[in-house]
Order: sequence, then C-alpha cells, then structure tokens
Amino acid sequence: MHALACSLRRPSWGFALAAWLSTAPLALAHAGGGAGGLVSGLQHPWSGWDHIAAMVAVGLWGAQLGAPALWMLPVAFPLIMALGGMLGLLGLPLPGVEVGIAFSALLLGIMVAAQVRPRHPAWAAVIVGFFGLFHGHAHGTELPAGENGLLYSLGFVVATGVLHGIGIGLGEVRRWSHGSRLLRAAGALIALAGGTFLFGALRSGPDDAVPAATAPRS
Amino acid sequence: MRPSLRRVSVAVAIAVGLLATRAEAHTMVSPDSPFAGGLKHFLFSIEDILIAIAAGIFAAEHGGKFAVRGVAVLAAAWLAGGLGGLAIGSLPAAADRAAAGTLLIVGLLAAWDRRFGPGVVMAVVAVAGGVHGLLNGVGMQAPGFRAGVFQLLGIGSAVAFVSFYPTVLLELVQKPWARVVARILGSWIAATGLLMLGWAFRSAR
Repeated sequence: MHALACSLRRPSWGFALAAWLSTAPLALAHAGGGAGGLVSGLQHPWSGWDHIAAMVAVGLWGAQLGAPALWMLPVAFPLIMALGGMLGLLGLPLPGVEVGIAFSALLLGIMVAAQVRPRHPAWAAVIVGFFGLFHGHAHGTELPAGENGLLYSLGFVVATGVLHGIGIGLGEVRRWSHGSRLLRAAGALIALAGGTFLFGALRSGPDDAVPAATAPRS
Repeated sequence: MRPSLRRVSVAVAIAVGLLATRAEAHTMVSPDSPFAGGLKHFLFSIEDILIAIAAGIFAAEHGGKFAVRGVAVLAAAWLAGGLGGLAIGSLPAAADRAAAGTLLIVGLLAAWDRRFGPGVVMAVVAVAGGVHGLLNGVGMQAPGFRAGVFQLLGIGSAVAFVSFYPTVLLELVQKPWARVVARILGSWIAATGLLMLGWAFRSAR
C-alpha cells in the first residue's frame, strides 16, 4: 500500500511509461504481414551464437570500461552496424563477413578477459564499430522475402541493443568482490567460443558477400 | 516540476477537456471521425512515431524550455506540411527517402547530444515535422479537404503527445542514466533511418 502511495505521489514517470507501453502494441501491430518483419528482425541477431557472443561481449566490455565507454559502445555499434546493413541491402560486397563476425567474438572476448583499456574510450568504440560493419552486412543481406523493411530494421536494431543490455547487466558483476574475475572468465569463455567460430568459418572457406535477400543464416 | 512544464501540463489538460466536450457535442473525436482517423494513422506509422521521439529527444536535450517549444514547433510544422501535402496531392516516389533521411539526421543529432543555438534546434525540428507532415498530407485518403484537415489535427495531437515523452524522460527524471537512454534511443532511430535509406535505394534499383 505504501509502495502504491509512493508511486501515486510520483505519477508522471509511471504514468508516462504505462501510457507509452499501451500505445506501442498498436504501432507494432500495423501493416498486416509487416509485423512478420518485426519478428524476423527481432529474431535475427539471436539466430547465430557468433552474433550473440559478440553482442554480449560488447556489453561486457562496456561495463568493464565504465562510463563513458559504457554508453559509447551501445551508441556507436548500431550506427556502424546499420551502415554495414545498408551496404548489404545495396548488394555491395564485403569480403570475409563470416570470418569478421567470428573474429569479433574472439577479439572482444580477449579484450574482456585481458581487461584491455584503450587510452581513449573512443578507440573502444572504433574497434566495436569496425566489427559492427560485418554484423550489419550479414543482417542486411539476409532479409527473408516479403518482409516489411522498416519493421525488420527496427527489430534487429532493438534486438542488438537488448543483447548489449544483457552484456552490460552481466558485466555489472564487477561491483562484487570477486566479480572482476567472473567478468574476465566470461570474456575468456567468449574468446574460446569465438576461436571455435573462427576455426569453423576459416574451414568452410572465405565467404565473399552473399547476394542481397538470400535465405536467413542458420 | 519546472514552470514551463507546468504551463504545458495545464494547457494539455485544458485541451483534453475541450476535446472531450466536443466529443460529446459533435462526435468529432468518435472512433470513426477524421480526427480519430488521424490519431490512428499516426499510432500505426512506426516511422512517424520514431521521428516524433527523435525530435522530442533532440529538443529536450537542450533543456525544458526548448523541449516545450520543440513539441509545439514539431506539431505546427507537421500540420503545415500536411496542409501543403493535401494541397499538392502527390509527390515523386523518391520523396520517401526524405523521411528516412530525417530519421537518420535527427536520430544522429539526438545520439550526439551536442548543444546548438535555439534557431538551429527549432529549424531541425520544423524540417522533420514538415517533411513527415507533407508525406502524411499527400498520402491522406480523407473524403474532402475539411476531413483531411481534421485528420491532420488528429495527427498533430498525437505528434505532440508522443514527442512530449522524451521531455518527461529528460526533464522530470533528471538522472544521468535517462540521458544515456535518450542517446541510445537516438542511435537506434538513426540506425533505422540509415537502413530505411538502404531499403529505399534498393527498391529503386
């Protein structure tokens, strides 16, 4: 009851959130089959462990570096990822996309495991952004036919942000007494997984850019 | 609450009260009315919602006074652009790229969180509102100019409503994390705009 009273005393924030949430489903339900684009977009970054590992590593590294890298990385990554996505949409080739994605998981995992701190946080954003280009290109070339482009784009940008958020949330274990070691261990695990992905990508041969709008990656 | 925000809250409350009265008297806001059609049109248009949020963030990052003016300028420009669109009737297909371009530019500015002069802030907000309003006006399927105007009034009300949310986030919460959330939202909107440009150019090929 007390909590309710407190929340009623601070109505604007709670009311604003509730009202926004109440309007969002209306918007998402729009355009008939277009909602399928949103679902596809939301699902796509979760469709491969290499994507997931790299995205979570971005969040972990941001949390490890602290502000301003904590917000710089999640701001820089989707922008450069979208640039890569645009290249993919236009059918412009980007060599070694799969290798780049796998290498991103390996390198970002190493950054977290070794607690690498660039001299300026912007360098971390540059490194993360560079890999974002490969992730975005993969997303851009793999739109399932007949989906709504806007909703697909929005979906995969939001899903990527959610994965960063998960990484940041996990990275906050650094505040605990042995959290820093846990965080480094998580980085090592991601680096190990990245190494496996890289081995697999190199074994299957260098993958030049996939033509636009092919089937989704498995 | 800041005085400027309190004034806007009172104005919104009065406007809502007036609308409610009209609803009972003339069914102007009944579910099938052009006004309600405009509201629904906006709430079903993701790109319009995104630009309203981006413009709201960009204006609110400059402080409460800018936020309030920004909401008013955005809605007014949207309305003016919509009237222009109604009058023109059609635009080249490539005009859709302008909507994606505004998402990209205003989203980037919101993510950048850099201070600009009042003229620049209002000009950016006005251009964003004008472009999306123009596209709304052209695409409007209202029976007659008068119905179109009421649809645009509905859209304008929804624009003001949605673009006020970033002000709530940035001015009322006043926590550092709220600013970070706003910047991340800006980057997501810019990224979506960039991808929309990709889609537009791909469709044109």
